[in-house]
Amino acid sequence: MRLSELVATLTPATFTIVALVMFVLVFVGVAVRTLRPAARAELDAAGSMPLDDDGPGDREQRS
Amino acid sequence: MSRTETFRYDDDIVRKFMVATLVWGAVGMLVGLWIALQLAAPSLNVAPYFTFGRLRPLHTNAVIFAFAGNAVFSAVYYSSQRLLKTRMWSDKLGRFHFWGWQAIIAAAAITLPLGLTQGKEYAELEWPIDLAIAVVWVVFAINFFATLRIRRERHMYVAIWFYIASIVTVALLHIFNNLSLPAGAFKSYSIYAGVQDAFMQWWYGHNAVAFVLTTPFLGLMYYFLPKAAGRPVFSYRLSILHFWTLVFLYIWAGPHHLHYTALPAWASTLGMVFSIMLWMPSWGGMINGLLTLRGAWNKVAEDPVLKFFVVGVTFYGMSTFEGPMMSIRSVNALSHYTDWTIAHVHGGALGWVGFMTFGMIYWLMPRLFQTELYSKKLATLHFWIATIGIVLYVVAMWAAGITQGLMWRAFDETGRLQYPDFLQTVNRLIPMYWVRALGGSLYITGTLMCAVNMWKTWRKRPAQYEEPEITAPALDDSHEEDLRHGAAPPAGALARVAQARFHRKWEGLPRLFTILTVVAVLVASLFEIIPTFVIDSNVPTIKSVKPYTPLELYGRDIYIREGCYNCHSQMVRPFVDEVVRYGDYSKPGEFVYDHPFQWGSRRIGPDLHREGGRRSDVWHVHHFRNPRSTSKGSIMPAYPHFYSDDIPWDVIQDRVDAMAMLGVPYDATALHDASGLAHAQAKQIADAIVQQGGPAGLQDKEVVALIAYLQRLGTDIKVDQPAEAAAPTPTAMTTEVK
Ligand code: HEC
Repeated sequence: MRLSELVATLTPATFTIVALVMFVLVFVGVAVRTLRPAARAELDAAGSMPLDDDGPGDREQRS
Repeated sequence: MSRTETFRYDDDIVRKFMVATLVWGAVGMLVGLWIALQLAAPSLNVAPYFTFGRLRPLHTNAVIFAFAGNAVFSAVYYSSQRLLKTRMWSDKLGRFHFWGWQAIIAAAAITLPLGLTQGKEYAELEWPIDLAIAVVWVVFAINFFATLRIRRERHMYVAIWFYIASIVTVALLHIFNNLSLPAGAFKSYSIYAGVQDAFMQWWYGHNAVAFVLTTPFLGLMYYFLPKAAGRPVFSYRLSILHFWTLVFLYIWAGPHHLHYTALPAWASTLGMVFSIMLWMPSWGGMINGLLTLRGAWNKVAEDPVLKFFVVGVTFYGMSTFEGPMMSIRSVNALSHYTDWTIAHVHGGALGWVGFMTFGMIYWLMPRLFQTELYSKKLATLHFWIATIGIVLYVVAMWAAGITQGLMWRAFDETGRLQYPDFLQTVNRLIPMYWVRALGGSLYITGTLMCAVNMWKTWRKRPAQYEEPEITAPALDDSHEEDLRHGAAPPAGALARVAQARFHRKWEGLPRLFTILTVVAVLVASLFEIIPTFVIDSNVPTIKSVKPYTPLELYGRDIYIREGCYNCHSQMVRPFVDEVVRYGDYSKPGEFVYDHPFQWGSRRIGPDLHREGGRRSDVWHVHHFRNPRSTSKGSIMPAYPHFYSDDIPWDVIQDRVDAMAMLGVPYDATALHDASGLAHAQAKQIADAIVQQGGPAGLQDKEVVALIAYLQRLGTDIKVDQPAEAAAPTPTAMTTEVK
């Protein structure tokens, strides 16, 4: 089947479905990857990055 | 081990953006208060420059691009340097970005009251300013991405991801929605027409909400909230899911602004499904933000910064629940075109964007001015007074929206519209408009308190700001080497994923990461946009629909210039009540020559798509001079300049030529003597006005062009008279055209 034929068979409704399937696949991929136990330690460490820096104000903790 | 390097952060640029945030915030909100009062008391319209239709774009542009925009830049410049452990790549580009952006805002503040506008919501600025925006944005992007390259921190914290997504997506949105053909120094026509223009516009409009008002503020939240709370975000892994789901979902949701319009049904279904799915990651983000404060709630009681953040994040949750709900078609049928939308955006704008900004400002002030905050009490007072302001505002607008929505569709027992006069549904709202103005005033009072606090804090600053030296190990390429020559061979993508290597790499590499984000956004956009452009059946042609005459075209330009679309829709939805009230519902094929489309988003006045022939010419003459003379209690502005200003005959040919270049099929006469045609039609209308007992001598005046346009509206297809349409075909659940 040529590509142009394939595109021609796509109706708007198919677009919707293709879009939905694509999204779900990507989401599952990201979720699996992020929630793997192996990622835990590394990501939890990354989570405290904002607190590592030390500007003049932070040391004195004015607020 | 790599060598240690020393450097200093550039906080001067953050100070600049922070001050600009507050200054423009106050200006934008004051204009907002002014237009709110205009709706309650129309005498506050000062024609020609300061009418509702011209000031409302000024308000929206000022609060979105000036207030929120500068707030985003403050957050980006402050937190990126610290998260990446480096000074910004170029101080000069940073200054160019700052002054360029302020110049653009000033240009907006001047051109919008002058009526120079593209007539598309939140994209009103004319093409020269659009070009300037593109240049400044690119400079900002260059500086930002170059800073990523020189970073000393391997992992990019999630806030940075949100910034990257925002920077690239805003560039895309801005460029594609603003493609237009200039027809003069400050006049252009969108290259898209009708349905396609609407589609582009709301692809843009919705994603401006996403990538100007949401993702950068989430970046802000993920940095400043942990800072203020003194503890890391509740779940970093949740924040990663939050990021990717938002990036993949948001871009699809735009068509939900166009339910029941002439947009094809499949597209609005797509918009609805994805909007509802958005609810999930948004609440994940809210919960993540709030739980960051677990065990620190006692701090919230003392610290105005945390107070602002907690309520801000709560409003994020509220708006992201309300939004998906409003995108459900049956809810949207009620809420659309009413003040419910205004309530929704202000929950988001005042609560989420505003409070996150103020929280950040109060947190930054002592650090940037290197002295204690002038008054914590005043900041706390600001918090409370603004919170009460939001509640009054939002509740008043909910009430107004639902009231008006229900009144529009109410039938009495004899099957007639219960409120046939549109004004009945307007006048009921006036008390709520006063409450809204009160709520808004309270919010602005808070903003002014913040300004006082900033001024006084600034006065206490040290003679010379301390610029401490920071030391950090340089980042070399070893981590990439690591990946390339690691112990375990990266045998295939799956194995690499399993070993946590692959993702380390793509989250660590700005280029790859950016490309992935762009792909996510682009693929989604293309999926959305391409079908509307390539599938002919989406916009069935209607033979009887012809281009506007030269005079009508100029009248349409006046309509755009005055911002009539801020109060009037041109889109009759296929509901029984609308068909009875306005006439036959709108078909996609009727808009093929509408560059730009003027469907509108709020009906402060009645829909005008079937206005042609509804009133006599002379009625319009009296109405524009003083709407109260024909319509008692009307809140429409008076337009005295329509009677004093002459039609500039010499520009008409240029406008027709520009339209012809966009593919509008004008005939030879129009292409050679547009102004002659326009003169003749103007004379005809002026004579008719005299015959109907109106004033003489109007044939050169703008009012004639506008009347020509209004009398043409919606007349190209055979229209049923509203009275005969008492039992229209049941079309309420579909927009498909037979
Ligand atoms: C502040 C909002 C507002 C703005 C701005 C505004 N209008 Fe109106 N308009 C109204 C309201 C409310 C009514 C209904 C009461 C009345 O007839 O005046 C109305 C009524 C009308 C009507 C009469 C419709 C009918 O047949 O009953 C026309 C025509 C009209 N407007 C055209 C315009 C044009 C053209 C502009 C721009 C130059 C404009 N309006 C700007 C609020 C507005």
